[in-house]
Amino acid sequence: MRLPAIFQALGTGLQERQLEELLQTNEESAKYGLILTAEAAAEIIEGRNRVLQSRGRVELGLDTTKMLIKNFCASSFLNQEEYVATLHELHELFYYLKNRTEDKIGDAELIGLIKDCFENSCGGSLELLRDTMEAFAENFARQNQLVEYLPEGEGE
Amino acid sequence: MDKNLAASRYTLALLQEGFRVGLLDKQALAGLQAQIMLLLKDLILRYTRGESTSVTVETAESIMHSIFYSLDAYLRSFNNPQEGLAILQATSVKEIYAKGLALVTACVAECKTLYRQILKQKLNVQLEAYNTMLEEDLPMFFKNYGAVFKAHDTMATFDYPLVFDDMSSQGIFYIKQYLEKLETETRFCRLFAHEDMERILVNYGRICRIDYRKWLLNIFELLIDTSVFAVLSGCHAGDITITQTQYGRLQARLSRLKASAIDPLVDGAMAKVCQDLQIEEPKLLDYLHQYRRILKLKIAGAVEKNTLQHLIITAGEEKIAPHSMIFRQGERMSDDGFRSLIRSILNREATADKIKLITARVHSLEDLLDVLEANCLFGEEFASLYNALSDPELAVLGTTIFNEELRNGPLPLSSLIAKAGEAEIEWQARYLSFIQKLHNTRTGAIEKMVNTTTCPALEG
Repeated sequence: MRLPAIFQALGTGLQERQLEELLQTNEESAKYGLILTAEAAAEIIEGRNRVLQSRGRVELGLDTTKMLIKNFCASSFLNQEEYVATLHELHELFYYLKNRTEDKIGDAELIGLIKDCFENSCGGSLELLRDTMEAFAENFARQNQLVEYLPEGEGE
Repeated sequence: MDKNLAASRYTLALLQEGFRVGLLDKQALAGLQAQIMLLLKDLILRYTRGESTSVTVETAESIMHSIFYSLDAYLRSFNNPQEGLAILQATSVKEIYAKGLALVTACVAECKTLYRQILKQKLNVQLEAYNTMLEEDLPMFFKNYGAVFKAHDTMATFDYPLVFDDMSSQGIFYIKQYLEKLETETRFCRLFAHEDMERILVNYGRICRIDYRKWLLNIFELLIDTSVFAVLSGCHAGDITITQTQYGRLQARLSRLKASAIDPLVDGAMAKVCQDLQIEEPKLLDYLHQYRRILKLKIAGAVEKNTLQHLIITAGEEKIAPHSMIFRQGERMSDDGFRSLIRSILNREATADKIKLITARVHSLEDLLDVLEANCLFGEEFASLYNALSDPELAVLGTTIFNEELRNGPLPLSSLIAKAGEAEIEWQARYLSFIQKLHNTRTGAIEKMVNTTTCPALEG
């Protein structure tokens, strides 16, 4: 069910509220030298909406974005210059993994996994993070598939 | 305003119409939108048990459908749209949703009670679709139906067809109307002795040369039709054995009738049926009253096409020319047998040899359909096979192709054939093209059979 155009035309107030909400994350991230300008925040929201659309997902708040910021802003691998681009990459990776793992891993656990991998085995490399998480997703999907084809009763 | 409100998506239509006629302004609409979105957000979180704030588009749309299903349930309970709109303005969406959800849940309980009552009255017949619907499909529905996240989801398609089935409704309200009508039909069927009911089914199967147990037949329809024909033969409505002699007289009488004389004839016979069977219950009387129109059309069509023999189920020898191999009752081929047949067909070069093999070894519709889809016939070989089939067999193949269209009532074959270009499956496209080339008289006879024969419930 798509909400009719009559509703969609009225969504501008919502965007303003989301922008304000995102800018409030600066309070925490500023402690680590990371700040989002209004322009950057708008860019993040726009990028996140694009990713959601391309991944065929719906999220009615900025909870994921805020959780990503909260978890990653303390990372010593993040700097102001790459802050926005890194957040873009993390959104892309997060929603991709949600689909690949068929929503079987909760948001907090998944972000924890990404963060752990980014901080430790990947040493802050986004490229390495993508490859590692891709391998993780494949392995996760394979294990799920195996469980599905187990003889009756064995998978329970 | 009232005329623009669709039966489904009632709340959305109400909002749109309210806005259009100026009863709702932009601000009010934005407020309602925000409340609906908040409700959706809450339900997404409940759906993921608090684990995830995002879901796939399909899941979000399904939950949204479910929300509107409950909102519709409550708002539609008011006498007029203006009243519903006033409630939308004065009450929070969350509260309206809660009241709607309560109505949906109450309906589930009501349906379960109705289902248990019907189960106690279950007809002792060997119709697979009927038994599966009662013993498997409905219990499965009640097990899987979820009023919160999937209120709109009907979850199951019941193969057993009713005379009147409102396919426009969804979810538990669809099930409710299905059960209510099924209960009415069952009450009528139980006015007849089990043996008579079974005999009608067996005779129907014999006349159409089908295994009636696998067919999507409506028992009520067969019984009421036969009861009316019994009355028209001068018998008691409960005496539903129509002999060949009675059939002969009936055919002569009906064939001489002018179209305008059919209506009063059926009206009178139907009144006599109700009198003979002492039917006084208003709901059943109303159902029979509605059915009169269908029966009149069926009789008029059969008189016009001279195909009364397919409508009047007789107890004696059927009048359809004996024919063919395929749709007589019989066991399906084993997997090995089927593979061996396909190998043999592929190894034959002459079309006649291939057809001979098929007609000699295929004895069930399911096997025939498997052969048609096994890529073992090419080009004009399809037409040669169709040429070897009898008209009733061609009609049965037609019903498998047009099953969906025919559920909404009889259709002229010409309009169905017009869809030949849309058929993506080769045997179906070639079937339609074969039928197109037949002589009008033959097409007419097949058309009548397509419209009076129901599609069989196919196995695997």
